[in-house]
Amino acid sequence: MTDLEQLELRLLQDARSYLEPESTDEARLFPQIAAKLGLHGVVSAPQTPSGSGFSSRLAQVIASKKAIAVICTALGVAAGFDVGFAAGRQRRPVEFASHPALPVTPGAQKEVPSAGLVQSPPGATAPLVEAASLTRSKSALLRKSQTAIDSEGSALAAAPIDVLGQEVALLKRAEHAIRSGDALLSLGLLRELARRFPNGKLLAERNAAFVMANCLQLEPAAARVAGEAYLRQATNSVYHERVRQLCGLAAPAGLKNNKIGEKGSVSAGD
Amino acid sequence: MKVFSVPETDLSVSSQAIRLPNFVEAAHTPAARPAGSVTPAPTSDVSFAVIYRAHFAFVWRSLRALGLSTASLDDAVQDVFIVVHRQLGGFDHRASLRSWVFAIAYNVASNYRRREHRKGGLALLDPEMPSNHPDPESQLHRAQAWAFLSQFLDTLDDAKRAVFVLTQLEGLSATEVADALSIPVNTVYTRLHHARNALRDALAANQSGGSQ
Repeated sequence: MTDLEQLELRLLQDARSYLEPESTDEARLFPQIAAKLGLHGVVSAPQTPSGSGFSSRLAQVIASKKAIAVICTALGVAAGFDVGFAAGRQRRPVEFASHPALPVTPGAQKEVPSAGLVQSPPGATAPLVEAASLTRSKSALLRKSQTAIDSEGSALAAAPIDVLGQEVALLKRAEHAIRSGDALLSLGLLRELARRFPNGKLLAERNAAFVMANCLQLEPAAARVAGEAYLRQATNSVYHERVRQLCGLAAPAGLKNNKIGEKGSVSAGD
Repeated sequence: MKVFSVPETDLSVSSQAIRLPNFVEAAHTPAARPAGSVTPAPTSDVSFAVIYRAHFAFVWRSLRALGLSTASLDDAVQDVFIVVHRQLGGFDHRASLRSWVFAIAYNVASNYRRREHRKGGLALLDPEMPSNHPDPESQLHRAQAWAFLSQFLDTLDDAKRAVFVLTQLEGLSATEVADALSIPVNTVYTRLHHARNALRDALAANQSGGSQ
């Protein structure tokens, strides 16, 4: 077996095991299916295999912190950590010299402007991550990222009603994180966004942000593949130029003078 | 109502290995049923629960590998099993149960992807992070493997993608794949050949890119 075949085999094994459902998914979904089918006789309360209560929650928190530490290591210098398909990848510095900072307009956002930039909801704080944080220690970055995600979630949980404003606020923070080159924070915020707003109004913006955030941390070749896939699927997106830039793709000859989407922002109204 | 019994060979596990989900067993334990409160389920419903148990992970993996976003996954899995339940009576055993279930999952996935595409959404990259996994390092490794593979799968057309997923990720035979997709066996081999060559090219490019 050649090296390439071994690599292929390992890739398939790892990918397959990653696709496995969580141990609770099977029991979680069955009552919903049974209810839709009217199978009342076979349904009782689903049981989670893991324990519940404080000890279980504590174990989850510890595992979560450990996971983020590992991710930070992998995204950073990654000394001695062979991650195979993204081995040795350094965090790519991102230059935004041609992309001025987003204007932040105070005030409630009852409606998303059709072609404007995403604006902050009332009470929004200053940008969470600054470019300077990239030079800080990994542990400081870890604490900051986790704290930012946690505090954002808590603040939004406590905020009243303005659902679209919350969605916009989270997306804007993710966008700031992308600007700062902080893929970890951005992906965490986008994950929170997907969890809170699975059918949100800003799906196109969110997907563009996913691609950009992933391109920050992927191998150049993989980033190009991701970027190309996005450009192929989101044919009418205004984020093409930005995705090209972050994913390392050359601009097509016919579009070099196209300024659409060059503000470097994830904006509403795509 | 037609009673459907599940052949052991279709479930790919021995009869002793088939266990109802805990929540199904609990409902059928006499002690767990207050008198008059729960009607015992018809046999076909119990068979459905067995099929659900035996194929849940397969359906889940298949839908993800076919490009569904995690946001749509729960709904899509439910839709698959609802269709399975409704069409169970018409299953004629000409194909394996797994092939039949996959054919349903394939159609459901296609519908969801079209819907996501119309909404401007993409099932491209989910921001998955191994947050609560007991072994986060290996989970991160697997996540990166999936990130690479999913990007490769996005470069394939739907027909090649389905063949690749079924043979390479799920280990189905060419005959089963041909049954699931209603295509000749030779077409399965041809599509698989092209898809594997493309994957090796992508891996080789990744390796050479990483070594530069």
